[in-house]
Order: sequence, then C-alpha cells, then structure tokens
Amino acid sequence: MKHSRLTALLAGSALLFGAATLTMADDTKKDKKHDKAADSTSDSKEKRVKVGEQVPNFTMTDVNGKSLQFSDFSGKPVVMQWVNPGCPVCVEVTKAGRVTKMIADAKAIDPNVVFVMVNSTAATASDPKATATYLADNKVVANAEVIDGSGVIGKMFDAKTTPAVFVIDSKGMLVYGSAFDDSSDRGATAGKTNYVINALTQLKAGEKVSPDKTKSYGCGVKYAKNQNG
Amino acid sequence: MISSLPYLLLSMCMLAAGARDCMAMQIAKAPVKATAAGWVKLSSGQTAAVVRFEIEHGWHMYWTNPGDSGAPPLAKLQAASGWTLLEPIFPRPSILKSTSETNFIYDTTWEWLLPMAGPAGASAPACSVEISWMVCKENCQIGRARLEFAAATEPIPAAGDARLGRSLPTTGAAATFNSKDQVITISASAGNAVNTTSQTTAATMARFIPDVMPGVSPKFSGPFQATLSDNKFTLAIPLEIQPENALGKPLVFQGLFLYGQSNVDRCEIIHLPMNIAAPSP
Repeated sequence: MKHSRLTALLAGSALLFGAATLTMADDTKKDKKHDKAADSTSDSKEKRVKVGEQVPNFTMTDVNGKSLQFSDFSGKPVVMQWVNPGCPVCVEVTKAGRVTKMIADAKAIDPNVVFVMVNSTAATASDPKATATYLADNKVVANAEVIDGSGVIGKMFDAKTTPAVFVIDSKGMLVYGSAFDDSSDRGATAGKTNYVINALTQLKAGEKVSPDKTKSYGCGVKYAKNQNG
Repeated sequence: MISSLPYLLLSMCMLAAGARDCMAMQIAKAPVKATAAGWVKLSSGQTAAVVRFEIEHGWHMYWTNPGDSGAPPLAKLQAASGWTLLEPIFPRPSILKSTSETNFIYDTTWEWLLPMAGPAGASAPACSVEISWMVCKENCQIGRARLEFAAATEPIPAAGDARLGRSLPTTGAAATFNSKDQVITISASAGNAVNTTSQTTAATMARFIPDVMPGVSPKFSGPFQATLSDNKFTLAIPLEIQPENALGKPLVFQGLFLYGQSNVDRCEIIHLPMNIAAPSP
C-alpha cells in the first residue's frame, strides 16, 4: 500500500517537476532577452571614484530601458544605493521599512536630495522588472531605478555589497561610502546611525562628512564575469 | 497518521503553491548544519561552548572579517543567569580571491568557539545559544538555529585546534609603524613556522590577513605576502589611518599572520594598539 502510494506520488512529482523545469527554461529565455536592453554604460569605463573626488558624468539605464545622465541631477545631493532582490540582507533592510524611512528622513533634511537605486548583481540585473517590482512592493520611491548589468557603475563606485550606499554632494563630490548603517547584526536590526542621514545632516550644516568611509555589510555584488575586476 | 503527514503536506503544497515552488521547497536542503558540540577549556582558562558548522559542498561562511562582502555568524546567549558571552573565537579561514573581491571564508566543517564568563568557580551552565549565519554560493542565505548546551562536566577538554592561532610571541617579533609613510612593518622569527604541514612551503609562505579595523584601512583587501630574510619574515603593509572613521573606537592594527598554505597550518594573532587618539564620533 505504502509502495503504491509512493510510486504514484513520485510519478506525479516527476510530471510536475517536468512542467516546472519547462517553466524555468522559458524564464531563462526571457532573462536573456532582457540582458541586451538592461545595461548601462559609462563615459569613463576604468575610472574608480574615491571619497573626496569629483564624480564624472556617466550614463545610466533605468528599469524601463530609459537612458539617464548623472549630470541630470547636477546641483543636487545624490544618494546611490546598491540593491539586489536576491540578497537576504538587502531584503531584510528594505522589508523592515528602513530604506523608505531613510528616504523620508533625507527629504526632510534636504527636499532636493536625489535617490538612485542601482542593481549591479548580474544574476538579478538580467530581470529589470523584478528589481522594479521589489522596490515597488516595499514602497521604495526613488528618483531612478537603475540596471547596471555590466557592472560598470558599480565598479566605478567600488560597490562591494548590497545594501551599500554612496553620498555625492551638490557639487558632485563623493563624500561618503559605503555601509547603510552601523547595525551590529548585518541589518537584522537597525543601527543607531544611518550613515546617509548622518552625511546629509553634516552637509546641511556645512560640516565635513564624518565618518566618510565605513565597511559595508551584506551580500557581495556578483558582477558579470565578462568584466575584469 | 504521522507517516502520512509528509504526503499530506506535499499534496497541500502542490495545490496551494504550484508545482515549481513546491518542488523547490521539497528539493532545497539547508547548506549549513549547526550543532552544539560541547565545551572546551581555552589556554586563557576560560570555558567556551563549541558550535560545529557542517557546510554543503560549494557554499561558504565567513571569518570575523568577511573581506569585501559577507558577514560573520552571530550568537546570543539565552537563559544562563550570571553568565555572559565574550568575543567569539574564529579559527584560521581560507582565502577566496576572485577578480573583483577577496573573502576570508570557511567552506568545510569548522568549529566556532563562544567563550563565556560566569561566577567565580562555577562550571559552564546548561544554556541556549541563538545563532545566525550568512552562507553564500552564487547567492546568499541567512540561517538560524537555537542550540542547547548541557552543563559542562569536568574535566573539560582543552581546545586543541591548531587553526585557532595564538598571540604573536614577543620573543623575536617586532612591529613598527612609520607615520610618515603610513606603513606598518612586522617581523617575526621564521622559526615560528615549525609544525606546518610543509616545511618547504612554510619557508617561503607567510601571509597576513587583516581583521576589521575601523579607522585603520590597509590600502587593499589582502592577503599580504611576507618576505623571508635572515631567518625572519618581514611584512610591510601600507595603511590609511583615518581616526575620523574609527567610530569612536581606539585605533588598533589586528589580524592573522598565516604560515604555510593549508588552513590547518599555524597562525598567529596580531593585535597592536596604534596609540593615536580617535576623535569622538
């Protein structure tokens, strides 16, 4: 009796697994289609910007395939946050509402501040819609949601993890990178200091940003392998 | 009834979640198994709970400094009145280097030591420890477990893992920091390299990997190769000293000096206060 039940279950599972595999194969084809559209280029491919340096202009492609220039945000402070819907740390920080709170707090300090969410992780950047859905589902309203499948922008900022953050002042100088906050448990609970808010507060007061460099936590940004590190 | 439960759950899953999610749920196997592996006595005299991690092939966990990404495991002591958890002790990790990042990792079974401090003369208590960890392959997962430790019974065995490292011996070792060039130079007797798996390898192979050091940043992620001369290893590491980024902590240079290539070879712990005042955050 047990054997016949097991055989039937296995046969049924095999059929269902076959169907599931086919569905996944279709998804892969879809992902490959997105690959070409979902990419960004930079005006200075090998340039790596350090804290204290001017950020050169570069081109971005958003989740809808629309092209943007970094210079479009000229004269405003810009916060760039690296995101990945496949990273549990990024998901935890975002689902807990800490990204939306950061954006609200930042806008209260300076209504002109621009938020750019960037996905440079090759595996998930191949599906721009998934990044857009992930941000929308978590009520993250940014000025731009950028797909950087080639990793050019990520490497320019030396973004190592998600959710790493970088703050650029209104004159275009990189003034902070790269931990989201000082969480003692890799984002499971909020830290006492959100470093973006800290930097924007200091910029507003005309002070030097301090700390200007912290070690970020989270999942590694797994860049596309066809690029050299 | 109990034996039918998995079938019932699988059927419910198939109806509710669809075949693909359901199969993923059935096929997925946790890449890390964590177990409470008793108690050990450290050379300091402290007692430490031992957590054993068994890692599925291809996955990795992280050292106290994960490197360019990742995070070390975390522990929280529960229900052990009068006892506190001290700084966890991590054994020597392996080095995982790719074109874009360097990580310090464990990719096979390893043991994490959780030293505890309690009332004088008291033996280690029965307790629960909540742990969580990050494990990665192509993607990452967060794992969690609550481990139950039985009260320690004497005699508690000594921690015998060569990977645990010991403090850099003061005899024959020296460290100097050139504040003008911002370079720290550490030299140690090559005689310290005995007991490695390969004397030949050990004679030419000594490296340093940095711990997390707020305000003290090596110019790159490491590892840093030592040079051998006059039977001494010398290590010169260019640093960026930024007291404003120390997050209010004292500036310290710390990490592991690794002899040999195998992760069962000896290592020594380097911990050098930089004697530069860090400003308040």
